Amino acid sequence: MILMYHKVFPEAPTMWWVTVDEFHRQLTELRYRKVVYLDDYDPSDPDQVVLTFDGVYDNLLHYGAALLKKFDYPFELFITSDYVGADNAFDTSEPSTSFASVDELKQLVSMGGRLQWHTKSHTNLASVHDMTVIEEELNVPVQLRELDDSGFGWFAYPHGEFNDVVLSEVRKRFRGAVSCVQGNDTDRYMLNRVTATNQSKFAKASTSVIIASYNYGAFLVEAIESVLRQTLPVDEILISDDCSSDETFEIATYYQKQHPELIKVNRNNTNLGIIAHFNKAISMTSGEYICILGADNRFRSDYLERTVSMLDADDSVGIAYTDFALFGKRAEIEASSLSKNWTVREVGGKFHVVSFPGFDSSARALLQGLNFIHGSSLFRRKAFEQVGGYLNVNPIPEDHGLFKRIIDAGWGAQHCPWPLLEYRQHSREQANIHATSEALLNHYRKQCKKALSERDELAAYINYARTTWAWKLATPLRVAENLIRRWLKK
Amino acid sequence: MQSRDELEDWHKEQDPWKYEQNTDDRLRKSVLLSELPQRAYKSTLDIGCGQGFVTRDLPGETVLGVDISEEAVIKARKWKSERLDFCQASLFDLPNRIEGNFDLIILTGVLYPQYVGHALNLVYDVIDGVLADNGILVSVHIDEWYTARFPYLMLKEYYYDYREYTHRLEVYVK
Repeated sequence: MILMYHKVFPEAPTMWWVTVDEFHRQLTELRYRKVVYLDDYDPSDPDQVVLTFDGVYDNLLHYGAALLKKFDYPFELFITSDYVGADNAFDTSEPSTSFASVDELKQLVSMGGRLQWHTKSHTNLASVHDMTVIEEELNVPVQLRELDDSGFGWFAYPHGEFNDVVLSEVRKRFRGAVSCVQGNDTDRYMLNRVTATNQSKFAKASTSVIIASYNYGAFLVEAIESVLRQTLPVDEILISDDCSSDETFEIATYYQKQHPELIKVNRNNTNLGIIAHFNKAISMTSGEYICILGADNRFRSDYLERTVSMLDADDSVGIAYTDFALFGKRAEIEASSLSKNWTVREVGGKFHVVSFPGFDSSARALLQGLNFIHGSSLFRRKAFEQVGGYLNVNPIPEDHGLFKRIIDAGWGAQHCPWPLLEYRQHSREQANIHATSEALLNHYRKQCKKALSERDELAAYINYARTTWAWKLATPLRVAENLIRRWLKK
Repeated sequence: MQSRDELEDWHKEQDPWKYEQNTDDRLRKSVLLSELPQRAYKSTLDIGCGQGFVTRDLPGETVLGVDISEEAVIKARKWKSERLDFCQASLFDLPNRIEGNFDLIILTGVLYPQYVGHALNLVYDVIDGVLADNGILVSVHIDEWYTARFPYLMLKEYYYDYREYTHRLEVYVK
């Protein structure tokens, strides 16, 4: 697949612009593929991707290049020489923006970009047969050629269109060429490109996060917000209430109404307990990757970005597990107990970050006795279903049991060496002291503000209504009605 | 998004948001200062410092305020001292404009769509490039307009009334 981008910017006024956040999402989703230069591109390999940028606009340098560098992706820059350093005033249907200057092109090359040719003037060559014009459009000036020793082997047809004469001249001068409408997926001189827009999705799999609560309503807002604000957006959230007697269901319903496309809510009529509850919740979701977040905990905002890529990268990996950061009243006690087996360090005077081992053969053996794959790890639905889900096998905790059976069934695991779970340590008593969460208080503050403003609007409307003729007419009618009622009673 | 020119125009006026006279703004500054983890900060960076209302009271052996508006920075420079300096720079251009790492970074009222559009993931990347390991990041924003969450452990979050809104104060550790 060859992708065609034009402008990368914080806003997307037309379909030719992709916002920085959507661009970041798309680059994240492409990690399991092999992003290559056109020179290395094999159209028959479905895992290969080429990123191409036409123009080239300076917003790519200002807003896109740092992210391309973050992912260490190579990319192709199709330049039109008349536009270098100019603006797009000629393009009246598009908001104004500037093309990259020579210096900016140099910077893009130093960040992994490769310069390629997109004609002198961006003329549609489909109807041009004059050899002088064709040669002028296909000729790369020496001063531009010098900007990139590895570049200018590839050509992009303006508007994607060409004729036989142009095609034949392109074959003489370039190693290959790309179109977007007139080509195919096999001929190296007319490879089609896919236009990337804000809506383009390249994810390998979908992900569901289950937020499970049994009387953890006091912390639920924090858990939900931590999932909603992930750097890689989640596909589905199920907030599942195991028959709590607290505000869990009310808060869950509030968020479901705010995000009806994303959030589902389940409430059990009776308290099912962890195992039956988790199995039921998972059966209500559809993502190929699943994780369960206890409502008293929070994900760091790069949890999904980092764990999803581990399952994407290797189909034999069933579980991606992370380090975690303990906090709360009992964090120190718990950290001291965990430090017997794992490395623990204090961070910021609040967190005790516990680091777990990478998954190798000795870790595999270790898992038989000790659990280091925490309950909020990301796992594959296929692996979960293969081993029959959570089972009640005392005395092993349900998550240890599940992960051990997944590993015993032959699945691999991957360690994600960052503390991506903020893991609250508290006693039952503390959990039940309501309104201990700032986020929860703020949730009610917002609801209260909204209710007050609705009340004020209603009051204003009633005041207005009192001044209308209908109200004035209604008053004598009500007096008459009362008189008639009294008369009837008599 | 507001253009650079609009922001320059806005800052032609002295203290255009009237922070200096507003009790809510004096309060939010005290709240911010009181919620900072107690450390001996070597270098502090205030991104979107405006005319220096918060910057001038921040701790740090050196404190640098940056703002996209040159007009704002010119006005902020009246607070310039041996430890305190200001320079014009866009948040997105910071990696090219400043050198070194900071162990305290402050972002107040910056990450709204009108200033950064839909580019939070680039903001995270830029901040990560200038925040030292184990450094502290404080983000203070009107909750109603704020959708960010930095990929660091969150030391605290705190909400309080600010003008007709609610302020969300977040303290992260890298």
